[in-house]
Amino acid sequence: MFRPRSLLRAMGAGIALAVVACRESPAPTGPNAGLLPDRAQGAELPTANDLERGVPGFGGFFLGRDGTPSVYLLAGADRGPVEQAFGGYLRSQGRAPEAVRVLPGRYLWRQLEGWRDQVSAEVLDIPGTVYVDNDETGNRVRVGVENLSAHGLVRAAVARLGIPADAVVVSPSDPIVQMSTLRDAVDRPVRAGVQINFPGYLCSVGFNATSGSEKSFITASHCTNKQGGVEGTPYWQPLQSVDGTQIATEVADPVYVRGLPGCPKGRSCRYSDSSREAYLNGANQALGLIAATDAANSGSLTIVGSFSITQDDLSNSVTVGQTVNKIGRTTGWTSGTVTNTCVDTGVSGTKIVQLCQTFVSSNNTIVLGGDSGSGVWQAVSGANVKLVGILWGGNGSGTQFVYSPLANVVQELGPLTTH
Amino acid sequence: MPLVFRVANAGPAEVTLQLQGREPTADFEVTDTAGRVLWTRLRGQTMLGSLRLFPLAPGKALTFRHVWNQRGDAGKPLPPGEYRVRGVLLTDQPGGLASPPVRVRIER
Repeated sequence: MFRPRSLLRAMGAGIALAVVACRESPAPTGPNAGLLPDRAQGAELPTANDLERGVPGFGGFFLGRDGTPSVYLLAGADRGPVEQAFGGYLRSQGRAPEAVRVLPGRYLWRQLEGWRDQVSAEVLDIPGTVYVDNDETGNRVRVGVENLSAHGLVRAAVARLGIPADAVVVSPSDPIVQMSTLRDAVDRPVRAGVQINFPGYLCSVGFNATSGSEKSFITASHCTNKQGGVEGTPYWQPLQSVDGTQIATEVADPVYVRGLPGCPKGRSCRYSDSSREAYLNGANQALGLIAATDAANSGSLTIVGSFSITQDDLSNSVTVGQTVNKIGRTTGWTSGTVTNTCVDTGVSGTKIVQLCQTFVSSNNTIVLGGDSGSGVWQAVSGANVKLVGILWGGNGSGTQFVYSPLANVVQELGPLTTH
Repeated sequence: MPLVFRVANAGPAEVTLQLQGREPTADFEVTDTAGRVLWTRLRGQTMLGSLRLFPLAPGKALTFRHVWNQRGDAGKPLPPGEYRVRGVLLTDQPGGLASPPVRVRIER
């Protein structure tokens, strides 16, 4: 009987149809337990509609904590039809029909149903109203509200509708929020770790950063229309088809060059696979925040909070044997052990070599397609983390990822404020 | 030994594959009859971690070819015997999109 605000419009037609259907069904002419359908007399629990038709004075029912059917009846109503209605069910539980509990009701079930629909139509657009319910356990309509302001407006609406004030209980309620994942969240402001979409591809936001006064995020260079070089790649989050408002444009992505120290002959090199994207609306930048899932290597993609970047590793201080983490749109929060540092790394299928990269391994799957661009970090304390780099690749089985150290990123993109 | 791995859309509607990297990439994997991995084409390589949205029209296919030199990952020729070969398209799923294994035999 619960009706949250977001479903109001979608359910409106369904509610109207349901009421019409009830009224057009053959209505009992008076109290007669014999009108209870077979279901109400067998081992199954009768429905509220069964009881409303077959039990005069019916005001609602629920199962008590001990499993005993508890039925609201208006004063003067006979408990006989109730015992008959629940007899089959109670006998199937090894109990006598007399075990049914009858509570003194004030309003009929059908009255409460009608009032609930009236109240829903009137109050669910009031900011702070969470739900409207025909509360079977209380023989009242219950309205959940987030704050006192909504409380007053709901009370006024109930009075306007001419519904007895006593028939409606207004009680505090927490807001109901949809659980969003790293892949489908329309995350505003945008946190690191969530999915981004550029033409034909998906990647992850690495971290937010401000360059000069330009509010931006950092992702991989190959998460642009062309790896190396600025083409003004547009970005949407999470998908252009979900939210068609572009959030950012590529503004920095140094070209790959030959002749860098350590760059093999015939190859093009950089020290990081990173690029910077400027937000079109600076208010969309959640500087310092990384969307957090519940636990490392759990496979969960559901966002439950945030990590805060409080330190930057600008001196390449991560050493072999240390643990690092990343959060990305495909594998979520994963962690592994640093196995190699400052590795010149050829990129499969290309002539690109990334100079001085860091390798991270695990027995678990810690990277898959779509995780590119994820920020790599180390835990500091609580939800505070130290940013150490940008993930850009991995092996075919997903047990090893490769990242560009933050110092290399800053060397190529310039000074960045990350928190 | 020539290896061919073909991923076809046999359905009536276009499907969008989510493929790892900038270009569609497939691995080939050779195991012994006990399932031990003896050789993979991509062993030791580092792939880009972006995800390409790749539309595949009905009746269309992606084809990957490789010539296997019948050596294991260590570079030594594998002895005569029976082996299994399969192709794996890299996606955003663990294990990718894999073909059923095909039996092959090295005679000598």
